[in-house]
Amino acid sequence: MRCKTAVRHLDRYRTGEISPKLESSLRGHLSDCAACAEELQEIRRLAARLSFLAAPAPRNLVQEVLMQTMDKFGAIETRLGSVWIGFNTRGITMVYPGNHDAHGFLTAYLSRRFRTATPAAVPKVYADMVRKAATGEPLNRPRLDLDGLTPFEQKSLLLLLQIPRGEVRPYSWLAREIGNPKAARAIGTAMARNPVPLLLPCHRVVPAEGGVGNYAFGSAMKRALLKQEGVPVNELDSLARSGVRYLGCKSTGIYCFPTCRDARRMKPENRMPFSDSGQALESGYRPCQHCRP
Amino acid sequence: MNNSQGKELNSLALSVHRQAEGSVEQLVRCYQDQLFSFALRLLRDPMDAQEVTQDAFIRAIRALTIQYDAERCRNLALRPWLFRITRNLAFNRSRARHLIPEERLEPDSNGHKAALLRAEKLQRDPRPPRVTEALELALKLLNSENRALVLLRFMEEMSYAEIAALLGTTEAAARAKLFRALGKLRGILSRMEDRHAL
Repeated sequence: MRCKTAVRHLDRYRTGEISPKLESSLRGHLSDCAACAEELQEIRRLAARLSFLAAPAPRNLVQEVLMQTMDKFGAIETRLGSVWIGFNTRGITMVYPGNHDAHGFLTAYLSRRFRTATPAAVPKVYADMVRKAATGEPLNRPRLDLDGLTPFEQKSLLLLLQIPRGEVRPYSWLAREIGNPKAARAIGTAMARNPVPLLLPCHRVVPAEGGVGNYAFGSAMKRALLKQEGVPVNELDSLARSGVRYLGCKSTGIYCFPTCRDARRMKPENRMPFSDSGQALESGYRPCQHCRP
Repeated sequence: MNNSQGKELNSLALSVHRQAEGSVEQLVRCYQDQLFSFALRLLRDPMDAQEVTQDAFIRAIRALTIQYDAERCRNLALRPWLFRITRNLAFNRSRARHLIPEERLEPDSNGHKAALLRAEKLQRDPRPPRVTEALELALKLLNSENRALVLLRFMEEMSYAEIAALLGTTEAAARAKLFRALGKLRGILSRMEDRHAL
């Protein structure tokens, strides 16, 4: 064997990852050739020096990984009946109607959050948060984990917190607010896939043409929730039936969504119904700066 | 996989897939030191290395539990696969680091100059650096792919079969790559020794 061939196999020879035939011919060469034997020693020394570069992992690494991978779930009783809650250390990951069994929840969890969860007792903080939301009380800052949702979904879902209690907005409003006015349908999908209904109030988004639209807990529940928050749902229906989308105020020259807090305190004689914003602008009205129609 | 260790490790992948109690912890404890050392020597920053290692585990666990079926977990070469994830994440991280200009960390140009001076002084330092320091410096001068190869083979003592699985090549190709990487490293080391011998 020539040196040129031998050096290429020295490292394999060192660890014994070599066929017996090659090994014996290499051994023969090494006993004859001092240069190659020295080369092998050199590789051995280098390997030993490099092996000292290994360092132990930081102690908190295991905990960090466990914390970030372990999602848990449990059921709690609320005013709306029993509700499944998925959660981890960062916050609530999912709220799901309790009329499904645990398997149904886990299937939904997998398809929505792309991971699984293990059963556990729901911490009181989270349970209270969901109970409070179910009674329609406002939450100041729900602890949520929206990690893994698309940026579009996260943006549009967090925007929901800007819709005040007692008011509703059309899907197209959310689309415009996030800077993509044509994405009303996509907003609809994002709302339908809202992993944390109640906590992020997707029930406050309704179709522009009237009615309350669909909901994870059922359309009737959406209507009831809105009523409880003080939205005049039936009145909205009759407005929508007569084609009214906006209300203008004759005394101020401002037009609003019908549920805007400013629209609702207009005097009845000052109300000026509009079916679209173009019509309102033409009549010299300007959009309200609170509800931004 | 040629040894009994490989078999045992594959059953670890499978038990993570089945979400057996404590299997995730076992996986992390089993590999954290190896993966962390590897990431640390690739990135030379303990914080970055820890983040990359954690991220690698999280991705691996997500893949094992959700994306992969039982068959794929059974046939998985777990160790090379984990190293591959870590290596790719570390490369991404160092690439992203290059995109963030250093000036943002050292806002005044004086600070930047000081860093350059320090580096120059270090190079002109007549004393030979300590053995591990020299080695670290030499590794730093290798390109990232060669550095990864050298670390896998000599720090982690990975077999050529495993390295080939990691790279997605044949064993012969892995050996050739490593032979060249080792040559590069030794070239750098001998040049460094020459400089300090003067």
